Amino acid sequence: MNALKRHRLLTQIWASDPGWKRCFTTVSHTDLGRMFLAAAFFFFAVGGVLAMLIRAQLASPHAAFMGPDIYNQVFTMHGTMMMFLFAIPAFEGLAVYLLPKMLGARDLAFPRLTAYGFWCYAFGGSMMLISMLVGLAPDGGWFMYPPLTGAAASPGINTDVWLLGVTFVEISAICAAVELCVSILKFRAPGMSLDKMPIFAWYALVTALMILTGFPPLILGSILLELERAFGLPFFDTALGGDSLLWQHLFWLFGHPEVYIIFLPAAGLISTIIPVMSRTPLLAYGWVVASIVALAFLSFGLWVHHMFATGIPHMGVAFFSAASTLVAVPTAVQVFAWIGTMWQGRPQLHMPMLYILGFFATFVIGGLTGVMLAIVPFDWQAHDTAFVTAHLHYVLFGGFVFPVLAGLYYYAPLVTGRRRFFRIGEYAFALVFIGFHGTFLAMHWVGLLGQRRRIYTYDADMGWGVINLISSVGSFVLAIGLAMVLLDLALNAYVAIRGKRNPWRAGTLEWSMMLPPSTYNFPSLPRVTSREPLIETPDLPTRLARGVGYLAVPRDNRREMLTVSTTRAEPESLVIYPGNTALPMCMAAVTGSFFLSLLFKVYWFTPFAVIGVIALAWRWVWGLGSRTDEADQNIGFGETVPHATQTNRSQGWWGSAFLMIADATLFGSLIFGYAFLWTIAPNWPPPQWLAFTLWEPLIGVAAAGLAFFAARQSPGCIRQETCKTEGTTRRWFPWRLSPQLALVGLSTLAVIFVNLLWRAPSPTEHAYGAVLCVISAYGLFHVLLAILMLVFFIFRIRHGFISTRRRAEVEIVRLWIDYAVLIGLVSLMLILSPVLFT
Amino acid sequence: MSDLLRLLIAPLVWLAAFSAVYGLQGFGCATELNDVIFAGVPLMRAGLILVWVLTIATLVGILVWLERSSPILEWTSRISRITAWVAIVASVWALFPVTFASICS
Ligand code: HEM
Ligand SMILES: [Cu+2]
Repeated sequence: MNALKRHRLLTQIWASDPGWKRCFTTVSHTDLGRMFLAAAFFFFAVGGVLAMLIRAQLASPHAAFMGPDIYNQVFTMHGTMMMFLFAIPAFEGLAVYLLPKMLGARDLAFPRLTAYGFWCYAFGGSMMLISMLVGLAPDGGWFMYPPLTGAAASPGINTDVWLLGVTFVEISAICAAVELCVSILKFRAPGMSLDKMPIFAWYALVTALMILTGFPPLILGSILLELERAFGLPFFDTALGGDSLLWQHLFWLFGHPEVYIIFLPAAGLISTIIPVMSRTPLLAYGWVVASIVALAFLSFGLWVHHMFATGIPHMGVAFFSAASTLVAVPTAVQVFAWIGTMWQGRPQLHMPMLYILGFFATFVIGGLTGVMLAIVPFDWQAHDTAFVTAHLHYVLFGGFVFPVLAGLYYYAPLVTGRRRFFRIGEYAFALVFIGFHGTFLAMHWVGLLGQRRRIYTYDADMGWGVINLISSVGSFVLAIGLAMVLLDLALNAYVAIRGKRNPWRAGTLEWSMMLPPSTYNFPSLPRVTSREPLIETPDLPTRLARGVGYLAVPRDNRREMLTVSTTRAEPESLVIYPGNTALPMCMAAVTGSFFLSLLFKVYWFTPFAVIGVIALAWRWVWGLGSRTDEADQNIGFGETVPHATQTNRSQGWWGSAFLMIADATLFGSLIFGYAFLWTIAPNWPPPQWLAFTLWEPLIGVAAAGLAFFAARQSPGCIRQETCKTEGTTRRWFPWRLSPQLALVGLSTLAVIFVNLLWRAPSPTEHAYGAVLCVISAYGLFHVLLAILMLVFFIFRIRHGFISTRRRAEVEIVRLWIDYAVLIGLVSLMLILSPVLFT
Repeated sequence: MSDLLRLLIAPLVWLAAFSAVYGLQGFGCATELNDVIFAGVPLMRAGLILVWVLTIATLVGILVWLERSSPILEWTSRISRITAWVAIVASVWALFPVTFASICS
């Protein structure tokens, strides 16, 4: 097969639908990455307009431009949009677009999940945007502290828009995170062992793991606050055994890691760009990897430093300030690696480099003001002033927007296939840089003079007028600069001349592609032997096009990809991707109807939405797999691998496992909340404890055990014909119908949870009852989920999708049963055992 | 996978210990545990210091194990030793306040 024929065949197999349908049915990471980025920058623009409104209002004392009601909505939406609808999705977009290309893959692990995540984000974001246009936007600040956001102080649906909208959007972050973890660990070019991954992949992997462990506390907090507002479960209401500080803990348990979730991908771009611009490899790759890991962990030990003003005991304050000083070290390691790389090489001042210099200048100042704020006495003075706002913009804008703009200029030739021709960018950079510092240097100053953040106006005799005016003028300069950046990028994307391959002479795989990239990324998958394959093998592109690589022969009209072992990246299995479909978008729409029904309190509709999601999910997975065993497949170089459906650890298993990390973190946060309320909240003990019974734990343990062991029944034995050949676990369990037995066990567990929900003390009278209610519901939910999967599985057996060889689904279902069993037991223990001590 | 776990194991222990100490301190302050003095030793502080020392000992043990056993990739062994050191330093430094800070006020 020659290169042209291969190109034609592959293009046909991998193409998205033509015309207007493309946008709705595409599952290609290239399309979806671009859509993510476009949407993220749209929200950046909206957030930017809101910032201009804020600055217009604050420009002079007693401005009559906005009243307090509108002002509150505007700054809340500005912060919310920038954090949730711009920064995180921009990372997702970059990672979705770039990673497969960098890793030598043809797509991400779960193409339809990418699409589902995108649509959840698009619909959730639109929901919040519309609420703003009709004047119902949230107004409690981007961290939404109760009791201000409780039902009493904030009636109306504004706060619900935030709680439900952000949760909806966060589905997309969780989807993307699961997707990225599995893709980075399993979907790489063969030979790309962990130490040969492009550095950006490390950053993305760690960021994704942080999303999985950082977002659940916030999701939990939003659920609890929504439950309080809608149904009166008093989690944050001090009078009834709740505590509003619980929200602060949950929020900052998310919020501090969040800053690093935003910063790390940006740092990943810097670590990618600086070496190329300096014509030398990244200095101290290993140290950088170690410092990313260290940073991620340390950032989870800092959250209380946002709460120093709430009266934490000295020891707690000391722990968290000590930990806060530590994070500076891994950040410094990276900064030194960057400086060292530039020192070692010959840096060239192209456009991306300008923004990186802008980053250095800005981020260092932001870091210094951060150290100032980490000193507790200073924090007590500057807390809640414009100084803090200035600091956070130095870090967020300096640490995220500048590097991302560098990244956009760096990757523009790859995305558009054109060479930069119009040179508006340099002027735009000057305006952005001057405008930014004009705006926010001034804000430090008024902050120290005492101007509080989030005030809509101030008196002339405070003497803040001139400084605020300078700041506002600066912000308009900044806005003009940013608009020019967009103009520059757009002009160069649509009218500039075609560029040639690998314009920056970089060494990583994404630059070995045709420009703009083809739908299938790589005509054949390379065998990687170094960290910079293109430098080692300059003729790699032609070799891949000629078919010197894996999966060089398109077959059966299928979208094929390999999975590899996590560490060494040896080929493990062959994956067949699903084709174009509107299913993800439909499912996101139905998911959206679920959130809307909660928002508008049409609760009768909610069950229908849930059923809709289940039905679509059923269809989603039903289409996978095959009804016949297939022989091991030839993948080139004389190697063969089995189909992923015929392995124990398919990508679905990995995806489930990573999703469980997030799920377990949510559960852990719930336990933390329970313990926190019990020990710290005033107005405990509750008026009434749950009565202890012996039969619940006994039957519960028996049922859980039954489900657990029944699920261990060997898969082949499920069908009678194969039972004779598989004898291993039959010794333990003489019955053949193991899924049915597991079903009995799980259903019994479900009954116990329903009974607990039934007999627990009233959830609206005291936080104790409310917590029991949530824990039982969590347990019940997982047991029901496992039941649903079992039922699905039984149908799959009936229809011949499962055999001794095609066992991937067995393992996945078993994993979820095990999780449900574990959660069930822990929940039972949490609910019943404390009663014994009271 | 096991190589990735090597990189993460020591920091995970740090995270668990940090949470445990913070939780213990909160729990002690919420109950009467803080006032208990046993044989002239304040029980709370002794307990906190014990957890602190045990954490460091565990981490040193992990470091030794990382040095002795061999990973799939040679590269991992270096990086995992760095992350183990990070965890040790973080434990010593961030939990050091158990020795002097006032516990509940
Ligand atoms: C485009 C240039 C920007 C300008 C001129 C700007 C301006 C402002 C101002 C003046 C405030 C204070 C509102 C008040 O306290 O009354 C604010 C708050 C905030 N900004 Fe920005 N900002 C910009 C970009 C960003 C970016 C890129 C991010 C994040 C990625 C961001 C995140 C936030 C957050 C989280 C708040 C706090 C909102 C709250 O208090 O609830 N901003 N911004
Ligand atoms: Cu923080």
